[in-house]
Amino acid sequence: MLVFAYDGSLNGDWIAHYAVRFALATAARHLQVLHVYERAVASELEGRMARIAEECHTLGVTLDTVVRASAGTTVADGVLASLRDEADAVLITGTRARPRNMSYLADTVAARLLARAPCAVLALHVVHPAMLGQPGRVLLPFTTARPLSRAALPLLRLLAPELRKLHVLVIHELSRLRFRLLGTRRARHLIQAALERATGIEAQIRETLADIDCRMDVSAVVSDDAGKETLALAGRLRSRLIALEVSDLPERPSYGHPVEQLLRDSACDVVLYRGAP
Amino acid sequence: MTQRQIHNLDVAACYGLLRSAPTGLDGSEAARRLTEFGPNALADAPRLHWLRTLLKQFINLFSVLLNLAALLCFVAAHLEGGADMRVLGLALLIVALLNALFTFAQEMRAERAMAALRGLLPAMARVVRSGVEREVLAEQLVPGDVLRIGEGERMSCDARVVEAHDLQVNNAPLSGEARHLNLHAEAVVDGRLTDASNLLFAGASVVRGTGLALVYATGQRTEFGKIALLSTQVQRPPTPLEQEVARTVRVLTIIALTMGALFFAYGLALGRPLWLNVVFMLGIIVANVPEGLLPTLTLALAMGSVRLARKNVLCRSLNAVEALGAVEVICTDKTGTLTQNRLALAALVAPADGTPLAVDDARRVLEASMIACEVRGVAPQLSGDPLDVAIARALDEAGGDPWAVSATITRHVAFDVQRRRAAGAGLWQGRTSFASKGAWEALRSKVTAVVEAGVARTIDGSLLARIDATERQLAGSGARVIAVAARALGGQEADLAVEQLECGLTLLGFLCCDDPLRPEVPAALARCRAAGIEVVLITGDHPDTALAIARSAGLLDEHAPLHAVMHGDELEALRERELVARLAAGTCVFARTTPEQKLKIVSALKHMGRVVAMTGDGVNDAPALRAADVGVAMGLSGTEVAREAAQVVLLDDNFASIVTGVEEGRTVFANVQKFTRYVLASNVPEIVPFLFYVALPVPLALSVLQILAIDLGTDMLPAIGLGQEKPDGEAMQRGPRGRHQRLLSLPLLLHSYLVLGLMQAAWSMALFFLYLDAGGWNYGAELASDSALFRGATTLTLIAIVFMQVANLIGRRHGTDSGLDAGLLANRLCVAGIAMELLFVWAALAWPPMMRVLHTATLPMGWVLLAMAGAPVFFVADLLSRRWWAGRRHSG
Repeated sequence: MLVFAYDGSLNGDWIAHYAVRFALATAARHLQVLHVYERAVASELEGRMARIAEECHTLGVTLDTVVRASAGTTVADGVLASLRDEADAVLITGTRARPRNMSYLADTVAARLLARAPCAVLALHVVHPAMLGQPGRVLLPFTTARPLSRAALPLLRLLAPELRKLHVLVIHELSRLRFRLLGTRRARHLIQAALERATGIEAQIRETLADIDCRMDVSAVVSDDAGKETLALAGRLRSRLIALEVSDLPERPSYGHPVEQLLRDSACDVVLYRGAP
Repeated sequence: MTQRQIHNLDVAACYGLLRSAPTGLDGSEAARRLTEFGPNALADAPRLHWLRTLLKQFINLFSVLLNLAALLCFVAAHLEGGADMRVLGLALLIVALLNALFTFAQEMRAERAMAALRGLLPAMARVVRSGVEREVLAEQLVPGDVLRIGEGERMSCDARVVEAHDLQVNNAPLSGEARHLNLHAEAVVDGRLTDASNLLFAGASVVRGTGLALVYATGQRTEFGKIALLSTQVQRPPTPLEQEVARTVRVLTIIALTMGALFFAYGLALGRPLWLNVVFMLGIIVANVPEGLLPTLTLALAMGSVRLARKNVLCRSLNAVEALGAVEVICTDKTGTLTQNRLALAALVAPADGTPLAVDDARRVLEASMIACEVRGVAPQLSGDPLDVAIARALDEAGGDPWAVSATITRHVAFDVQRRRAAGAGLWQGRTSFASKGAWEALRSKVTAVVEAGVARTIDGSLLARIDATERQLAGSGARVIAVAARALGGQEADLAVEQLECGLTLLGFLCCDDPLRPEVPAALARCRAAGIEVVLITGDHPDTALAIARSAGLLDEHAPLHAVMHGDELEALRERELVARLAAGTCVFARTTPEQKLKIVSALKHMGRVVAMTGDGVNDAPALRAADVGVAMGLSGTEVAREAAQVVLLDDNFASIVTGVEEGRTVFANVQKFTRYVLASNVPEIVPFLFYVALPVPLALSVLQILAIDLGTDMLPAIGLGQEKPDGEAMQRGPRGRHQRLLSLPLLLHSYLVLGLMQAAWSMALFFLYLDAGGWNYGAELASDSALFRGATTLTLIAIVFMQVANLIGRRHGTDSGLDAGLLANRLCVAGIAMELLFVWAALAWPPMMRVLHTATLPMGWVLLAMAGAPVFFVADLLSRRWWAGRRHSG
């Protein structure tokens, strides 16, 4: 089941485009929009839900909406309560539209859901609202320390109908000192090894998602800053979406946390994904 | 799956999407959205970012070492007293500070690029809120706002056009295309979002008309914001010289620290006092670190950049001077760089048979094409699209009246990059007509007839094939081919949509436009070939035109394989490694490319390990300019943003100037090697006295201040002089040195330390002991530091080193020749350096203030002559050793 935790904001509308498109990629073609309110339902919510329903209808996605009170707890707890027995669900949520206290994630519903949800979670950060959830060109970065996980493939299945170009980047991350002292020959060796790994990931993706009709490419780098490399390559490739796995994200990531840095500096949409625990 | 993005939606759907209406947002909703999405502004650098950048300069190895040494000096001065240590500490601090400040100034350039981008956005905007039009700060625009736009205004956000009245914009900041684009409010069926003709992007300026637009992206979310982010985010890779200097400093620092630590430990083991050991450790470190090397390098680069500026190459970063010398591949534009950017009509050709048109026919074709032109001004000062201006001039010369034709134009459809044609309606041959001019591929499906021998004939398969062949032949000759087609309009047709007018056209002729090659380009390309530099041509032109230009410039010969040219569509589909393979196989012309594809080519070349120079002029070239090892912006035609993002600006937009820059850069690297060798040579005679002092019961032959007097005093000006040596004529006969050639190579280190350094050490130490012996000193006896004998002996050591450095300076001017054959007076700075060294010797021997500071003494003339004799001995020995090495290398 695909559940979209909708907050009723314009940013939420932008994320809704992704949610509807993701639903389109599932066999059930079904989306549940879950709105948890703290005090009272906003008067405009009905109209906003109607717009999502219209988009679902146009694309042939069935929709059910759940509006419930957080019952004295936080919104995140309200969402989690709804998902208590839904380990197979995929929850879609969003980061802040602009940083608060210099953070896109700290103390957000998205961060709590990424940390505590019993199911798979996708948190979207929309930089490019005009795309309406159809990124087309996606960058999938990995580090050699954290290669392709089982969480990535379901995400790619959800993205599949919109994928036109998928680029796999494998980053061999080194400490700053080791990176500075890295010789040319050793760097070449590490890049070659990372490139082989990237090619392996590409083969794995092709095998699993044989029906995806998109161009794929791979690259590998050695770096002391995986986030910067990811952003630089996304810029070079004009990627529209960066899909980043975040399996151990704290609820309050610091200003310098790599994920916060990536969200802060990204010139394209970002989806943070995490598999079911 | 059908892509449905904002440009694919109709106006009502766009309003729904952004929860807005033709009356705009109300004030409270706008305020709420401002809170949700933030101001419509490009992100500032984090607060105190400059401070972080500045502090970073003090934590590199070289700075840490110098600052630590300075600190120890101050501590020693405080505990033990004595002004010497304080002066030494101050000198070290100043060197560290100067280097840090200089690097800081370089790094802050990225901030200026962002400021230039901000300068492109307006401060105010007219917005409709609650049905009332008002002017607000552009920063307060939010998604959902309805903007009122008019001629002369500039966009500060991305917006969907919802109402357009003859609206025409210049999207140059985003697309790089300076041509104007007609905008409308209807949904667009296909095409990329950034090419959509119903979207306005931040940075674009409204050329004509009015309209309303619905804001959908603000601040960093705009396409412009993304370019801004990329322009500052794409890290300029360290230049080969920066990498080499960092490595050199690392190697020398490790040598210095290791030796310092070893002798400190040895001194402790011998039971010497702690502070004495500290002083000697510092001495060894100071002697090993060539303090003058970095300032000399900076000055050499600065003076190189001055020389380049005189040759129309403006270096915005000093390291770019040398980086140019390391370039292995130059990726260049065509228009304006290889060619003169002076479009002229070379011929008017009949499409069916390729023959030149008769005068009257030619005038008729020009009159028709004039209907699709927009030219302002009075001859000869015409302005407008270069092609339109060329057509107006040609019509004028053919006896026609371009102004009379222009006066009849009732409708103009400006050139559209996607449609690749322009059109217009006006009076032609006495009838209201519609005319279109553009690429043949774009008009091919719109024409149904062609004029052949003055008669219009319906086009069939064979005629179409003949026209195609004519066009290919013309494009293959290097001309830019423009097809001109027209048809008479019926009474009601003039107001129809362009798409409806563009059918059933009669092809009148082909205009062949020439943008002549710059005369100096073939020679410059030949020099590149001789210098082992590859040139890659990247252009938006037709592949045949690109191929023809590449051939006439000498980039490709007549037998060049087909795969030497690649179309932008093919490039788009290639994987990076496939592109690498194609580049390795000799593909060097990229046609019909977009500015974004430049980044892909740079990236592939860099993966091949090449040092890449990339030319560019548009705002959207900025990321590619920053990603290249050397970004080269066009000074005449380039945008401010491109110039800020680049390290080098060509003041004349001329390809030949890049090649001149490469030659200068190569010379700079050769000169850096010369003065590095020169500076390192004096390190050995500076270290050896400490080694003797620690290992043997002998006095110290050279004080720390005397070492600094050589490193930061007498060595500086001669080293700067070596940095100014002129190109030796061989610079462009060798292949590029590549990324991996070391500045501090093992042969250079061995020659500097074991040949030059040891010779100097042997002569100076021999004189030191000879003088002590003559003065009655016995081996192992202590000598007071203020005794005349000790001061005389150290003075002799000091001046012997300085004399031999004079010989070293002359020897370093050439690899195998004596250095005198190049003409000693040819390099005035070297002459000044020698004069300064001799003046220093005099001051050390006879000028009391200097003698007090350096603790030197006056010496009898015999001893001075003996010290001086070291110079010719050193000079001859050095020359013989170089020739011996060169002979060995040659025979090997």
